[in-house]
Amino acid sequence: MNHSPSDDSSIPVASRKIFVSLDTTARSRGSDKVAKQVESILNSQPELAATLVRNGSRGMFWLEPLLEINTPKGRVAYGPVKAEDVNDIINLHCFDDVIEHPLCLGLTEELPWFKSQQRLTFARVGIIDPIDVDDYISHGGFVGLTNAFAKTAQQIVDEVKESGLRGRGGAAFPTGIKWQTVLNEPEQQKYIVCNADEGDSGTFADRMLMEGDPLVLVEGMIIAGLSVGADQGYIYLRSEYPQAHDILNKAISNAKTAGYLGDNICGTEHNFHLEVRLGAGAYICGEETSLLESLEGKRGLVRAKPPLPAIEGLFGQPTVVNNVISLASVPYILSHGGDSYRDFGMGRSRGTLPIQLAGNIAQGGLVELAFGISLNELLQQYGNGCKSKRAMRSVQVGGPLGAYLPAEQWDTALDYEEFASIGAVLGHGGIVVFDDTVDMAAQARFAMEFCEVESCGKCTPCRIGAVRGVEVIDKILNNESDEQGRQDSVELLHDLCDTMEFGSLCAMGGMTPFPVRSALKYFPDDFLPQPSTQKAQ
Amino acid sequence: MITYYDPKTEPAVNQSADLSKDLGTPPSKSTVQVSVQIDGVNIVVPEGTSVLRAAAIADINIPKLCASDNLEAFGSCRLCAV
Amino acid sequence: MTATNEQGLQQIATIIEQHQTLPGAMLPILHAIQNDLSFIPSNALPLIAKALNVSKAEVHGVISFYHHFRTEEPGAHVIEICRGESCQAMGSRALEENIKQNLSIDYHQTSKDRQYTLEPVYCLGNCACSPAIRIGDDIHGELDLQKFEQIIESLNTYSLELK
Repeated sequence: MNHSPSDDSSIPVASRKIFVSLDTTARSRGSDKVAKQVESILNSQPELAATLVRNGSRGMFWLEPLLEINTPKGRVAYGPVKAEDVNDIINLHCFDDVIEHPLCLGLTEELPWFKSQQRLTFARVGIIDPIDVDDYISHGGFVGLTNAFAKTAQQIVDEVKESGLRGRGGAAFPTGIKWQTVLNEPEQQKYIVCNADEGDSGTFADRMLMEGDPLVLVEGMIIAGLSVGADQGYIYLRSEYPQAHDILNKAISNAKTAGYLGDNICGTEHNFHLEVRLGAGAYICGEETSLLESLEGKRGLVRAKPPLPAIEGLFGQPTVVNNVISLASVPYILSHGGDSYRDFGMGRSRGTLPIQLAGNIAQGGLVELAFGISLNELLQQYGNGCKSKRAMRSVQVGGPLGAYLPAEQWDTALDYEEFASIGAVLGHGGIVVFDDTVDMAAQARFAMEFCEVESCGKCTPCRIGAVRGVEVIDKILNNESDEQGRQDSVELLHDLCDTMEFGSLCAMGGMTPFPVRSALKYFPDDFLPQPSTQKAQ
Repeated sequence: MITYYDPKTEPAVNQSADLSKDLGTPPSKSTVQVSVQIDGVNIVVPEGTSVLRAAAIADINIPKLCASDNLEAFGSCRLCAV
Repeated sequence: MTATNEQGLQQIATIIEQHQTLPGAMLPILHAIQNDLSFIPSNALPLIAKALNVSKAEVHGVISFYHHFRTEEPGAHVIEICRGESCQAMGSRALEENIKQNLSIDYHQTSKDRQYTLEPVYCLGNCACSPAIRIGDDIHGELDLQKFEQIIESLNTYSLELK
């Protein structure tokens, strides 16, 4: 779409570009070294007249560092590239065609893994320069905002309701209804808060989006502000994401200069101010009320609901709290129409879900697809099996509070209700794969241990339950008592899980039993006394 | 944004209630009345009243630590949950 | 908790002045102090408390609630090892034991030569390339002990070059 094939056989000298990602994972695989090498070659060979663009990642992390060069046919990809390969590639290439090179993968957008996706929210990630406002606009950016200016607040909320968008943070609450509640509150100081405290293991969609296309999040937040009458936004970003922090700040500063943030945005009477605030390593601050406490400068203790944050949120004012992906999906909905978004998906799960393949997986990365694809298809077709080349044994979906799924459940379709029906959660779309060397009893113990470390400490079932949970699992595993004693401990663990699930104030204690119970139910052998250290061989 | 409580101008939270009794959770502002039966006792309370409060009005004791008329809703001890 | 000297206190006073009018200024102030001084000294507490009109206990409560904030000076390099499930699926449990042995320190400890401080972290968002660690603002993925040793070696050469 961005490179329409033309009759010219070469790219005009002025627009020769080489792309190397600045995404955290790409950098962890050495993309900075590659970029440095590209830069030094371009400096020493000015006749190439090409510029280096540090873009986001396409999400094919096993191919990073991915080097892309624009040609008349589209972008050609090379990967995984090492610094020493760069000279060869650039000097062979001439920016004209797909060339013969062992690392050449062909046209990026024709790669099957990429081509079969339905990228709506991630449409620009890995394509544009993340902090360049003009590049953003030339790829369809701010169309949604322009449309929003022509609508009333109620019409914007109606469009979001029409799209069927549900919160992508995990709880899947309809975004339009949340916005309606805030809009219905009388005119006063209101806030838009973006929950970018992406703490779940196995998830990185928020990070990739903020590093690859932060302006779509900015646009989504401005639209949210228009729709509920809020003029101040905060992005609560976790401190574990230094790269995203840097890019977000640059993007916000550029958007401000371009007139999209501040007073009288785009020459209208609307104001919208946006600020990034850093978390400080507390998982619980991903829970919305705890996040608000943290933004107010307090310990991240979960608040009792009611009142809902939509009515009494940040500093006691009506507040929209939405996940990064939810807000970043809004510009598409406003530019293409709610019904266009609604056409994707199945059942009550509408639109697309950015799915993250992680853990022991050969082809880890980000796949954006409409709801409804089966877990198996993702694991095999996209993930290509375990990285260790061993058999897959267990898959955890939805972060540390998600259930462990055995092979017989992998035909489940990715849909909020389908997952709920098997006692699992879809959460933020993170999928962590384990091979057959995994000790599921150790994983169950870790779930309790994690809750112990990360509990905010406010309510008793979570604060004390997690500690007791670790103790009981240890008792089962240490084989201290006879069979009767062991069975009593297992029963006690089930009882404790009930108390935590039904008695906890928030999802932290309420969902910790999910991984524990699923491990007990589907992998009971791992909890039996082990005759020797050899297992799962 | 700071507001001060002035007993001369503002009515007490539980003005009409029996102050000798700690009902635990705040009253509902609703004008719609609903009738409920707890442990065989019939009572009529405004819609949105918590079970804890309704039970307290009906003189049924539900164990609680953190719910008090003297505190804002806190919800931490979970002693009342079954 | 360790205190800081007169110069450090001066820095802290400036930071507080710059941030105290922000709504919810506590975390931005603590982050700025830790960025500049590498930890939050004990004698910063009364200053923060006074500026934000809260008690010292409340400031202490906030600092101790968040894993990121520290009240002791760390080593030259803070090494954070990801303990998330994704990294566990790629052998981080064995790796963390090896790293602890390699540096002869446990979590939340600093090596005797004050070079390394080891901290656990729950997910660095590098889950497609597990296991991961963070050193400073750099994130390293697909780690094994050999790669870890190479990274440590490069840290040492780098710090020598500076001198």
